[in-house]
Amino acid sequence: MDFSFGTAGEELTGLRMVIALHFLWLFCGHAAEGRVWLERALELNPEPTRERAEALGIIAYALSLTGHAPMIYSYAREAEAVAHSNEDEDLLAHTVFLLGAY
Amino acid sequence: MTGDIEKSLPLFRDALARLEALNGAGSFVLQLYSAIAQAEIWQGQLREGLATASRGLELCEETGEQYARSALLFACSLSRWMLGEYSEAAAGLTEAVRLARSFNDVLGAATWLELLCWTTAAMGRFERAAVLLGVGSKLWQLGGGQPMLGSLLMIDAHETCERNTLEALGPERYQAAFDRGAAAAVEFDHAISYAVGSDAGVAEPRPAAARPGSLSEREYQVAELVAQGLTNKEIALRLVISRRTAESHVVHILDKLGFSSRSQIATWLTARSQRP
Repeated sequence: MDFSFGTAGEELTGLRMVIALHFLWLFCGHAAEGRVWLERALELNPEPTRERAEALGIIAYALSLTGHAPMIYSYAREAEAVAHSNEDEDLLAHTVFLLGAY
Repeated sequence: MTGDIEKSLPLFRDALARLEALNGAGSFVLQLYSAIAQAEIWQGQLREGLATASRGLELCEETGEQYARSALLFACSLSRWMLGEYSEAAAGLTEAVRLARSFNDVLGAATWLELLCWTTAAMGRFERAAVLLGVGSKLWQLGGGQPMLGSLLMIDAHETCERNTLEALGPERYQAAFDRGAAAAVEFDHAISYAVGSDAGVAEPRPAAARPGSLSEREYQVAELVAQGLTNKEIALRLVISRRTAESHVVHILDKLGFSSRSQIATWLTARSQRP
């Protein structure tokens, strides 16, 4: 991940790796570390892709666990906007759940 | 989880309807059943929540889904706890915690175990409740998030459980039992084995097979230290005996109880402390 985020053209791969590790970040006791990787991944992948929306959902969840409530809603709203503009119904269902969870 | 549930429920239902319209199946759909059930239950719709969670469990049976099953068992048990059906709740939670272990889901295990604490205290088994509160305190730390997921409803139930247990046992007994649980829970797998034993109990002799009175007082003392996770060397230092003597006590304990591992001693002691 460090390599991907430090190498031009590899940012999306890095983002995908961070997403793939979501269970580790959220449920195995690594929410704080996950947040750091997710923030870095989001910063380097600003395009409104499905991957970005997934990462937004994961970071929102991570923040809900560590108790940084104010940011959660804006992340979830951005994910929802991506789902709408991409007409991605499956993603929309996930973000609706996310909005309900906080 | 911190927000208000009246707003959550329609959004969860909306999400489920959208996924079902897409013919979505799989783990996430079943996790939504659990989210809906929990929201219903916390709102006081106990029977509806139980029905939703039970339907989710049926779907798990059909598909073999295990991860969502642990969350659905929790939802069912939450309802049963509120309905006063404590032994059903405890059985569901024991299975849920073991499932969470199989996925290395520390946060899930911490949450399910939390409800098991409340249930155990509600059953009047305060000694065990205090031990489980000790295990839980460590599990929440290992989970890397806020205790009780920051949920005000859970924090309230936790504090009630703590207060009732403390009142029933008195500060000294409470602290001793709590510390025993916390000491055994330094690491995830051990915490779960200590709290709910291992699956099915196939490989391990049932604790009941051992006669409670069969250990000498000294051996019992050593067994308690083993259960706390101390090494033979540490036990020797603690009891001011030689390391060889400590070793031979442990061997005798294992022989007498018919056990093959130190963790079985911990499980046996927990089971003993549950008996009035």
